[in-house]
Amino acid sequence: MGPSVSVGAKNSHSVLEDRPGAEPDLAALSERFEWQSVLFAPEPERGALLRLKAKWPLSARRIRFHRNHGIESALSVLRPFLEYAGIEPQFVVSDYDDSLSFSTVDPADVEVIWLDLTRFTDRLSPEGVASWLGARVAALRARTDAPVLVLDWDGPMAAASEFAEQFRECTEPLGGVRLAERRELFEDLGEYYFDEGRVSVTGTRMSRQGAVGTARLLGSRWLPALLEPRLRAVVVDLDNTLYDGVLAEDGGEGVLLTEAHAELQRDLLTLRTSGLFLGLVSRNDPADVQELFRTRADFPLHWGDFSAHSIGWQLKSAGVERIAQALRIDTGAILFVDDNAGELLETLQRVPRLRCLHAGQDADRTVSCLRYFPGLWAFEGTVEDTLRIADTRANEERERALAVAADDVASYYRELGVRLTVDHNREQRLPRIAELSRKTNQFNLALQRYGESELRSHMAAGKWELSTARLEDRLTDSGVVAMSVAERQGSKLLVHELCISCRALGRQLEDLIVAQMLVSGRIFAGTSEVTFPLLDGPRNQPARTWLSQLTGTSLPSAQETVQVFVQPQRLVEASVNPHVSIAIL
Amino acid sequence: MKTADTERTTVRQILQTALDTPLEGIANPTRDEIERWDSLTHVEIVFMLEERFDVRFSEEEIVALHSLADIVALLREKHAA
Repeated sequence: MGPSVSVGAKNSHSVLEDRPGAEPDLAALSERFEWQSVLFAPEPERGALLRLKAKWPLSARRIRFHRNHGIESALSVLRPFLEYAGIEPQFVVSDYDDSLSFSTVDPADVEVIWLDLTRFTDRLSPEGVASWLGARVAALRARTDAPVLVLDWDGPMAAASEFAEQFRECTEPLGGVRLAERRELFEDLGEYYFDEGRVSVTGTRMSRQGAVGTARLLGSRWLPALLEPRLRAVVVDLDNTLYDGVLAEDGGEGVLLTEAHAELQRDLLTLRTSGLFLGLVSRNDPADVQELFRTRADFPLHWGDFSAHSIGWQLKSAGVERIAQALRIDTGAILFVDDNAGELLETLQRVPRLRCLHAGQDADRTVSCLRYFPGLWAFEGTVEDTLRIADTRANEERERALAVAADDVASYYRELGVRLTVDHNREQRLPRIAELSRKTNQFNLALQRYGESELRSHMAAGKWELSTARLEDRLTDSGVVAMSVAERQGSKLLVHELCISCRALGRQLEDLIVAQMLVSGRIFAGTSEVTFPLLDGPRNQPARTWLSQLTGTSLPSAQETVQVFVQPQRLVEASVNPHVSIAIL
Repeated sequence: MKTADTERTTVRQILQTALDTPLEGIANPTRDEIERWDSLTHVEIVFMLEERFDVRFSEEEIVALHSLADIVALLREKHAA
C-alpha cells in the first residue's frame, strides 16, 4: 500500500472561512476554470477561442514554423491553448518553401515542420518523402539543438505507417525529433479534416475544423510536451468526480458508476501506466472509502492504484500538500481534479502552484479535459516513468528499514542488497540524461536544462563526459536516477551539472552516487581540483545542503552562479561503500 | 426584423473579434476601410461566420465579400434558400 496520510479532526465549516479577513481574488482564480469549457469542448468554437486572453504569468517561447501551405487559421487559435499551458508564444513563420531551405537561422525554442506532404507524392513514394524529409531534418539539426516537431503523413492513410517507420529510422540518430501523429484527429473528423475545394482562398487543404483540432493538439499536447516538464501526478477527489453520488449519503453501493465515469477511471489508469502518480484526496471517512473500493468490483480503479491518499475531514489544500510530500514531488507538478469549485479555489489559494481542473457534472467533459490538459500527455513513456511508480511505493519500506537501522546503516544496505551501476558516454542514455536535467528541481546544482541534441554534439566532440547511475535493491529497480555532466579543463574537473532524482533521495546514498559517477570516469585521473557551479533555484536546497556537507563549509548565497571547489581526494573517499555492490560499465 | 438586427449585431461582433478592432461609429465596415481586414483575417472571419451560422461559403462567395452589408446579405440569401 502507498503512503497514506492520517486523518484530521472533522471540520464541517465552509472551506473559505479558515482565514478571516482574507480577500481572495476569486475571479482571477476561477478564470482558468472558465477557459476549460472553451478549450476542452468537443468542437472548440473559433470565436470563443479568439476572445480568450490570459491574465496570468506566461513564459515567452519562440516557436518557428517551416511550412509549404497556409498555417494562419491554425496559429490564431493555437495561442489560447498555449496560454492555458503557461506559454506566451512568439510565432516565427517561414515563407512557403517546398524545399525546406531553412533560410532563417536565429534561435528558436522549438522548430515545427508544417508540410502538406501530398505536394511531393506525384514524384516520390511515401517512403521517398520520408527519406527526403529525414535528410532535411538532419540539415536543420546541424543548425540547431532545439527540439524538432514534424507533422505526420497527411496523404492516403494506407501509407501512414510506411511513412512513419521510414521517417523514424532516418531521424532517430539525430535526437530530439518527434513525429506529431494526427491519427486520432483524422479518425474523429474523417473527410472533414480536409477542405480541398477552397485552397486558392485559404492556402491550405486543412479545413477550419482541421485547423482547430490540430491547434489543440499542438497547444495542449505536442508543444507543452517539448517545452515544459511533464506533470508528475493527478490527484482526484471522490464524490461526484470518480462517480455520480456522495459516499456519506448514498453509501458505497448507492453511488453510480456511469459509463462516462468508468471511462474517466480507465483514462486515469492509462495515465498511471504512462508513469504518472495517482493520488486520492477526499473529505470522507477513511474506512468508508476503503470499503467502497473493496466492494465496488465494477470500478476500473482500485485502492492500490493510488500511490498516496489523504482521506479525512481536513481541508483539501492540506490533503494535496501531504500527498505532494508523500510522493516527494513539488505541488506545481500536480493536477488536482475536483467537482467542488469552492474547494478548488480554497486549494488554489493555499497551494497556488497547483494545476486544477474543475470536474463538472458532465463526466464526459472531464474525460475530454484530461485528454487535452497540458502537461499530462507525453511522446513516449521512458522506462524510468514506469519504474517510478513501484519505486515510490518501495520508498516507504526503505524509510522504515532506515529508521530501524538508524545506528547501523551498513546493515540497512546489506538487508536491501543495494546495487549501483555507473556508466559513461553511452548513446542510449542521452534521452534520460536530458530528461533528468529538465525534470530535476531539488537535487540539481547549476539549474542547467539540456536538450538531447546538445548533449549528443558535446559528447561526440569529446568535450563532455556524460555519466549516469542506476540504482537497484531487493525492493525495486529504480532505473537511472542520477546523471553528471563534466568536462576536463587542464588539471581541473568542471562539473557542469549534477542531478539526482528526488525518489532516490533519503537513502543516504547521495555521496556515493555522485562520487562514483565522477571518480570512475576517464577524465578524473590526475585532477587537482573539482569545481561545482552552484546556482540557487526555487527548490534546489537539498543539493545545496549536500554540497555544503561535502565541503564542510557554509556556502554563500548563489543568486548568480558561484564556483564551489572540492578536493578530488574528498570524492575518492566518498566513492567507497563496502556494503553496496558497485559496477562500472 | 428583430432576427435581421440580431444577425447584423452578431456579424459585427465577429468582425470586431477577428479584426481585434472596435467598430463603433462605422455603420458598414468594409475591407477597403479597415487596414487589419487583410486576406488572412478575411479567412478567419469566414470561418467564424460559417461556424456561427452553420453555413458554407464557396470560394467565389468568399472573394466577393467586401463589407458587413455584403455578409449580412449573403447570410440572408443562404438562410432563405
